[in-house]
Amino acid sequence: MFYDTSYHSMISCMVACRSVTYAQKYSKLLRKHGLSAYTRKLPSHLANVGCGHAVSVRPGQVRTALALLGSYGAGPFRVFCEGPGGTTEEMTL
Amino acid sequence: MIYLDNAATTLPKPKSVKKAVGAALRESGGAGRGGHAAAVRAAEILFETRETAAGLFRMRDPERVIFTCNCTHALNIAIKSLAPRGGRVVTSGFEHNAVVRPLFRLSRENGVKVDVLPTPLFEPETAVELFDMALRGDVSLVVCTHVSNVFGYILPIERIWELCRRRGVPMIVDAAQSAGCLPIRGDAGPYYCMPGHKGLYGPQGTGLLLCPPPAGGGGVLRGLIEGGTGVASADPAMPNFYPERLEAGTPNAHSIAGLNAGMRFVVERGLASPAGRPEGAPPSGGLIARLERSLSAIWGVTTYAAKDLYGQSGVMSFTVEGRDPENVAARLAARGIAVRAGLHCAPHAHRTAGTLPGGTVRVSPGAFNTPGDVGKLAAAVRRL
Repeated sequence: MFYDTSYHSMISCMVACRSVTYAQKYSKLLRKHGLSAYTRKLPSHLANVGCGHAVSVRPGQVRTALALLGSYGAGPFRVFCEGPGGTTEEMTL
Repeated sequence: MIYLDNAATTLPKPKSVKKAVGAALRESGGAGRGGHAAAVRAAEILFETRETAAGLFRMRDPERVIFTCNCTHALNIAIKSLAPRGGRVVTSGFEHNAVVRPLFRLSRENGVKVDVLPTPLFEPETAVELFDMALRGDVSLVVCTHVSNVFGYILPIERIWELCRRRGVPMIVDAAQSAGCLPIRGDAGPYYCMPGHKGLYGPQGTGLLLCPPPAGGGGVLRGLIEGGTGVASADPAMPNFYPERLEAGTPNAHSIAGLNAGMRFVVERGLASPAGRPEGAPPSGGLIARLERSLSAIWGVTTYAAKDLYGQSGVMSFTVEGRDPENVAARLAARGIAVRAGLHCAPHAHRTAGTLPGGTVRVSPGAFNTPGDVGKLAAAVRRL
């Protein structure tokens, strides 16, 4: 659960995945449940060991998205939110 | 040309396959590498193909569908990962060199002991008994073909897997001749290795390795090569998860797009032997039955067919008394009929069936063959 609700002011949130395959799998799963989700590359400063992929979701849907993915046995995830100026911050889950 | 060599590679390919490859050549970049539209399209092609395969082979997780260059590549990954140094590997008597040669190398280099069981042709009950007896000893791995590429003999892999499962022995199935023809459950327990260019109607240069979930007897396979995966690039080690762990280097997205279309063709047409059997008919289908009837009526021709054809898929071999099989195939080729003769890269199968040294002439119809094609073949054989 999030204790910080300021993510609502963010442009998008990125659920970091282990690879592009998983990012696509989870994007599809979320879209199947009516959420807006697509696969994207993680900004390089967020990828721990270089080259990462993520599922981009709307900030207001992050909680639902993580709960859905969790119900399929996926996770835990690191989630990053992108601000209007391109700034990013990791969400504390 | 009347093409009856679909066990080697299916020909022609469905129009949808050609279209998909063409579109991928125009549109797709490096899958999983960039974030631009062309890279994303390539990544989509790969994932859609994994999903199609997972659906066709009844797997829950598309990430357990691994892309390989061909069935041999998949078999090498699985065999070299699962056969331990000094271990004992048991195989059927019908294995292709894609199984025989990696095991031979392991026997030379790693002290692996290989037991080739004398499983008789078209006797599945005996095969189960022989595997049962062999598995009472200390066995590290079982490798078994699903369908003999020479005779079309369907081996009882589900029952052999059940014996392996009870004893905790991993199993690899060579599904080169069964993928797209017979039902396969990728989550059932064994590792399945298959080509994309035969019964799945994809382009050459494609193959699949289906990894079962861990509870079903799966372990962590090791790739034959290491390299870029588009993920965790700063880590010098390969990822420890599928599919990237086994897929180093740029994947063949162009051909994989064709494989996806080929598998969709199979799904639309319904799982059937390449001979296109009617529902409820033996797996060998109408064309093989027709072929067997026609050829066996010719003096001097010996056909190798299961009695009721239920134990046979869409491949059949024959020999002509007093004639070298290669000569028969050459004469048929001169009449515009494509079949394959010789040992078919499966000397063990010929040893088991007693068709050494010359081998057989193999006929393997595909989705686009007709009863007329089989009739013309029989007529040509009669005129030899």
